Amino acid sequence: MITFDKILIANRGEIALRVMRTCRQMGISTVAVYSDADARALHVRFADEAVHIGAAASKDSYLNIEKIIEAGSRSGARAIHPGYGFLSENADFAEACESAGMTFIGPSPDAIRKAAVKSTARRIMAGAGVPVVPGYDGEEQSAKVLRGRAEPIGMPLLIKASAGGGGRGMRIVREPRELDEAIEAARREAEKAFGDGDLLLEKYVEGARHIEVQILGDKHGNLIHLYERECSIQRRHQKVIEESPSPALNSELRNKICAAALEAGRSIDYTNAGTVEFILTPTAEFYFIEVNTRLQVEHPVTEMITGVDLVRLQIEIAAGNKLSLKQEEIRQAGHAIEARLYAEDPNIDFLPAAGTLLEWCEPESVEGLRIDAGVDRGAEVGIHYDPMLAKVIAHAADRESARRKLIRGLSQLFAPGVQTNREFLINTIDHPQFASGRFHTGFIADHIEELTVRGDPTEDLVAAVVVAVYIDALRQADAEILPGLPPHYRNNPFRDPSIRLQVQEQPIDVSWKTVGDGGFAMSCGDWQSNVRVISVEQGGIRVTVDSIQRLFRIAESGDQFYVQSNSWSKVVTRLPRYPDSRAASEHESAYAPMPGQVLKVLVAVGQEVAAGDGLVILEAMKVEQTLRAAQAGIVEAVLVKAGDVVAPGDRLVEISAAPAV
Amino acid sequence: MQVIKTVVNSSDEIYRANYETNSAAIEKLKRELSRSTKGGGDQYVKRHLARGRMLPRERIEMLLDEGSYFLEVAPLAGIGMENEFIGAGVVGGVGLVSGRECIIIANEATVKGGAVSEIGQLKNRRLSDIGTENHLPSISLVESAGADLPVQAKIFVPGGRGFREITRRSKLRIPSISVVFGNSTAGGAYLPGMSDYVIMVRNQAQVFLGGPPLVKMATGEVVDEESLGGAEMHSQTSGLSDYLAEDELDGIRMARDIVRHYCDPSPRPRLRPVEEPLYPADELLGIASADVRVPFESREVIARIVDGSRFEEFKSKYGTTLVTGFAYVHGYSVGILANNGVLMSESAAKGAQFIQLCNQQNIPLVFLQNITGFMVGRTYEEQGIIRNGAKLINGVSNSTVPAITIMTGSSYGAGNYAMCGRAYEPRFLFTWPNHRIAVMGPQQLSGVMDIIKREALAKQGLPVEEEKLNAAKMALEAQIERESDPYFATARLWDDGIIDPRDTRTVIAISLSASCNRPVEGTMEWGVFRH
Repeated sequence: MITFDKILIANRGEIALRVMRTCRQMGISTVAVYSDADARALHVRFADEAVHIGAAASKDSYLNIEKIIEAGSRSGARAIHPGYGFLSENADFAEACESAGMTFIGPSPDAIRKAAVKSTARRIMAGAGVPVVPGYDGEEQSAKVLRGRAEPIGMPLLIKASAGGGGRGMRIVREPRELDEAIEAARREAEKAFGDGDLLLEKYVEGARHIEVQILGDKHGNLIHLYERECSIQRRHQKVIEESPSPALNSELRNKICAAALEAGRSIDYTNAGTVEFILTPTAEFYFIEVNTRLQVEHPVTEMITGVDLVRLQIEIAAGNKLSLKQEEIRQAGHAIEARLYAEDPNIDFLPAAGTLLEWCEPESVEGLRIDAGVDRGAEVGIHYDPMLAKVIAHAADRESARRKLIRGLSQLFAPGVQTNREFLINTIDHPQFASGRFHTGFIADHIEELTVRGDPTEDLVAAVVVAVYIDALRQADAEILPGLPPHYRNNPFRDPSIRLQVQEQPIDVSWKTVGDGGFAMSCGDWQSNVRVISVEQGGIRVTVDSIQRLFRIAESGDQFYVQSNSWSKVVTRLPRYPDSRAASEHESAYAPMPGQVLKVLVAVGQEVAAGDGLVILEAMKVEQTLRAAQAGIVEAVLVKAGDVVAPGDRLVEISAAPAV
Repeated sequence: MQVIKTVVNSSDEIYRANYETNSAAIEKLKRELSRSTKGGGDQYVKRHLARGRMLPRERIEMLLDEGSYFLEVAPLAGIGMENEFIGAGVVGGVGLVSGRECIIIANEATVKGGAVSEIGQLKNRRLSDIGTENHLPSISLVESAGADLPVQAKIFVPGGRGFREITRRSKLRIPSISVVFGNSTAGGAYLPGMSDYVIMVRNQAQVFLGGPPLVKMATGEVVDEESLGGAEMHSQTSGLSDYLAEDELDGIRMARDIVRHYCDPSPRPRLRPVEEPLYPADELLGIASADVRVPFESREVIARIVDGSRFEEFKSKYGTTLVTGFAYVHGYSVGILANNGVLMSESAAKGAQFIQLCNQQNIPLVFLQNITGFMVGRTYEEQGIIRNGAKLINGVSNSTVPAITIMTGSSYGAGNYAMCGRAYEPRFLFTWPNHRIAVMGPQQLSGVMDIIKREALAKQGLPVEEEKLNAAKMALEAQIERESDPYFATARLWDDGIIDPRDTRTVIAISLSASCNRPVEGTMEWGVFRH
């Protein structure tokens, strides 16, 4: 077997780690690359060597071909694995690797180019007899032409970036009058994301499911598939939950779709790992969408049901070996489901979240539960890169068992300090419709209310009560004077001990009476609960709340307490005991609601603004947000400029009250 | 160290009777304590709160560290006395502020505007003494109209002592803070005036030697209170105030910040790991005799107070009416002296020797008093009961290690002295609700008086009027009974408070810890022992 002695991984986060794990098993040395923001990141520490490649912004580091090639040459890497995202589907990069004498672990530049432009791919596929969605994939791209071509396709219509992927530059148009604006927005986004504003129009199929097929080809003409993955649980075209096999396919349909995928692969002489994406209509027709010429985020579900290490095969193929597996050796065994844990807040429209992970506790290891994480305790989750923290994948004999295992795995995961979509994932996987297997790509949008439900309000009170006894217990343990004394001892009692906390903006006063050894009768207003402290442990407290004993995980950072039970997590804030009595400012200020980068400042000093006027456009990850004036006034100061990186709570613009008329 | 073996039987009839009576006594105590927290009554409390001010106990709660204990001193001072409110218009005690043990003194502004009564002054003095004796920094939460003028004759002259003590403590490097929340007039102005740190609350504090009416009387000058002695004036112009607080909580926060920069107290003795007693404190209610005439085993009390119920008894076979020995309370080494019957020559001599040993090794003393007095009678006098009792009193008087006294039953006669009663300046002294205190028991006292009267009549050859004599005897017995009552005692600051017996271990621990703020230095110098 031919192989490499050293591989550079041109990526970061969980995928860099995942590739390195296979390298280690194969005895291959690993080289990581990192930006300023990642100097202490987990993938850097995990690698045998690491090379700094530039500033935090992706374009200066992980998208900088020159720097990465230089890092490869300098470290003596024989091959480069691009992971997913970044340069993974960049034909120029693949070529640059080869010309620098390093093997690009992926398909040929030619296959990448053919697949990259969606319109080209469409034409090739249609030619090869792969069914494609009715649409327009022409080279003429004027708004007028697009408008004209849209008409026969009809509404609803899907606009995509020709060069795109990952949902960027994608728009659904339901009304003809929305068309112009959607084309313009999609083009702007496509240009920004891919440097190519060409668009593709397709009929938008309502109620479609997203089915994709993993293919793998060697350089000796062998091409196999590793069955399908269903990725219909998406949010704004961003996959959230993926599984295999698809509950929507019977074996006949499966065979057809897999055969079509192989056909698609052959039509572009595909080598290495790739994915052919299809949509499946409610009437069981399927259409080609695109070929992803990389290892997919969701590849673990395929690995778990087939027992194949896709990265190992990628490396073997890239080194020039023949495929070590034959099609008939690939079997689907059991069922696997993957959930993507993102740093985002589902309750405020999935706004990307940033912060420091105070802890990173993965669920206890059980057979068939796989966690591909890119972070560990102390990791800084910033604004520069994709907010995915980890993937949790459960594999079991059948779908229901895998679903249960995944829910339990997620409920055991503790990632305090950064808001995540953990509960949202649990709610989704636990949803009866997801459980039934009958859903389509609109599932999340259709059920968003149920999936982001805040839960019983008493959960907030339980969280507050648990934090109150936790603080009290720790304080007692830290007491220097008479630590064995009953806490709060009074020979002449006056008031019960109490503490001021806040959960979700709501102040909660918790007071308690001691009842026997370790027992407390807790009160929050009219709500009462009996709590018994069993033990205070590292990172948590084991308490009985109203006769049920549970471990509540707690991590603290300053006045913030991140508390998590199996089914919920809350941030409990300790309100200051002595409020700052200095007078509040008379100015109104616009503050950054989230970490991000200032895209544009819309106002200048001295300008008069009305309530609701835009002040600053802020961008964080893929979301653009316009901050608006809360009241009329005069702009007194602009404290940021375009390009500035801002943290939540940073003051951006100050407005003085409008002069009296 | 051996564990004390208990022989308490909770189904025993005497145990159950004691338990019942003592429980009722605790209920009464709780009721009275609850009354003590009500200030000057609903109307005044409401008025005070309506002015946006905090109650003294609220101020104390906010001043204390979260989770800190607060051992209130003499909460029932003045109870049942004429011209006095329960608590005597002052709230004070020991608690933790910024991790330091402090003595806190707060005026109860809802009682006569915080004016100082006769007992109030006694209580202030006691709190001040606790600060001085134990080297505890003091924090005064001031809002007082000054002297209670109608009773000035009782307080004016001795009142000067309080101001003297603040500056003497300052000299001993025991700092004082005054947070002025309201009035602090005339003599009261010297409370902040003498303090090391003064915080005044904006728009509330008013400190002047003479208020506007007096100024007008004296010099004819017309001036408003705020310009005469407001917080801003004192912070910006007179310099009497060192810190200007925006509001009450701000002032309390400032006091906490000041304590934070104090240097560390003297190093504490090395403490042992704390062990809880093996037996429940609740059983003390069945052990302690409800009727003080019935003796009870003091080792059973010790077993429910000391760490691990371990007690190294000293001279267990000698002078057995006084139990002496070493133990730990919350890790603090202590020497315990506990009565187990009437004091005999041997027990008194043994006690004196034990006190000397504790002084030699810098071990604090704990006295568990339950004493009817020294033995009387010809044999005992011949054995030198006075001579031997004097040894014990000599020891108690000259001992310099901290002493903490708990009155667990009776405290009669010279036994009170020999077992470190109030006059012998224990650092802290608390009593149980079943306690009785007097020169002797009411029956003995009235009986003695009866005999004396009869002898006098006989000497003068006058007839004995049985009815009259009996009536006088009964009246006297009733009077002594009333005056022996623990509430009568605590009202007059004869102790630092009545406690729930089950809290004894906690109260001793707080007292010991507070005492150790001053270096524990036993003496080897004594008065001449009469051998």
